[in-house]
Amino acid sequence: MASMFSIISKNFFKDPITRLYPKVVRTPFERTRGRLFNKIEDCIYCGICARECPADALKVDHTNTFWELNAFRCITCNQCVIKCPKKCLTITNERRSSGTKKTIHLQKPTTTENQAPK
Amino acid sequence: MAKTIIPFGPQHPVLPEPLQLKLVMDEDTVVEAIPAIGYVHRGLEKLAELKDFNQTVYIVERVCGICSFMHSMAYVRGIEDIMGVVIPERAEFLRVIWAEIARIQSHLLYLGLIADGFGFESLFMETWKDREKILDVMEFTTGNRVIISANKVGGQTKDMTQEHFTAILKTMDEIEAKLKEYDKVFINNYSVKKRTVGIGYLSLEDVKEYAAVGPMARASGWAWDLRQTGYSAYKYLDFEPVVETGGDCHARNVVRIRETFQSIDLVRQAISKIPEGEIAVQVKGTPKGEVISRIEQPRGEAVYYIKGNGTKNLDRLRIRTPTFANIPTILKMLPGSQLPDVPIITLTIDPCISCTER
Repeated sequence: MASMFSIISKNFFKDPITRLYPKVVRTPFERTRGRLFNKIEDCIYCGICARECPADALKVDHTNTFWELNAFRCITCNQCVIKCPKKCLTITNERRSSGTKKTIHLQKPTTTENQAPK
Repeated sequence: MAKTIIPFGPQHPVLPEPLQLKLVMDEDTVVEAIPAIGYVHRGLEKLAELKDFNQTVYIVERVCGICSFMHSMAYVRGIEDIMGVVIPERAEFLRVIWAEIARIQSHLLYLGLIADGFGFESLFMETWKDREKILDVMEFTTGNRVIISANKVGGQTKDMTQEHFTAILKTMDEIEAKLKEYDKVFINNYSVKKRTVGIGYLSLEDVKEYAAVGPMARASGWAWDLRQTGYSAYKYLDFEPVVETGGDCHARNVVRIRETFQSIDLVRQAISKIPEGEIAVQVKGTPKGEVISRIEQPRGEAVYYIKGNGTKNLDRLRIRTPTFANIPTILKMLPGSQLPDVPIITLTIDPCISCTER
């Protein structure tokens, strides 16, 4: 009986265990695998990343200079980053924010949506 | 008199994965149980024949969502055996460290589920709260919480620095302190003992006849742990298999709790003995030949049969998971038990049905 009262009084004055989101936001770790990002200016559209992808999430066309990532299929396994000869692919530690429509992420060098996160 | 059949259906609040058991009842006692599996079949063994043998590492990891690291470890060890690749010692130690952390995470999940099985929700929340600390360590060192993609043919993809080791050791201390507080609840609490002692008894002869593996066998007195054979870096570590003789659900809980303490100790030993060096070697060529690779997963012994024919696609990949070997023991333990004991008996084998049907 006495141990029950000591547990109750200890828990009464303790902070909540859960994180008080949105006041406290969880910062991702340095090695967290968030999303794939391509620096499109350096890309030579060789297609090695599309061949190595185990989930078939990349589509590359050399003749039309076209690079497309299906972000719903990507498993952030890092294979494309390792095999890219120009080292223009990176995996950042911020996850994609939620969107309002189910679109495929098309990488074009001029839109601000695709600027590199710092 | 006509017998009632109650479906312990594929969807049940207590089961982590879908499994159907049709229970043939005689008033309140189970007479027979008829299983039906196949609700999570994804055809991964066939998919492994269509992909490159390097890409198959990512497929094999996704066979299970709890024991994922050990699957990729068994596969990668098999391919390295066929191709005659010897990996550096540091890579072996890194594999053992991550494997034992995965084992701790799996046993904490089991403890939470069994507590939820007899309705003790606050104990379930306590164990999973500590499991979150382990998952944070996994994310800090590799990037992901459970499916970590740290293995590749020839070694590891990531290294760990002294900062990572310090974080792991700090988490191990915290987990050990918390576990010492509430393992007494599983072992000594009056209501928990009423629900687990004497329930689901499996004798040593039954273990040998039904070929049970893992903690199911060790809780009935069969002292066999595959890690004693000394594969990978286990030959440098010092430990004994955890054995109990009770044979009931209570003994299996005790075995898994003691194995968690043993894994914490193994992680500390491995971190103190890890050598410096490379983490991977270059691998050229394709596998040709066949091999059987065995590994001790949290639920028991898993067997991998890999056959390569010299091209970059494998000829055959066959996986025998421990839950597949333990399901016949449910069919032995259920007849004669009461209906409220059925969830506890089903959960005590630690079923991982997504492993059973790849």
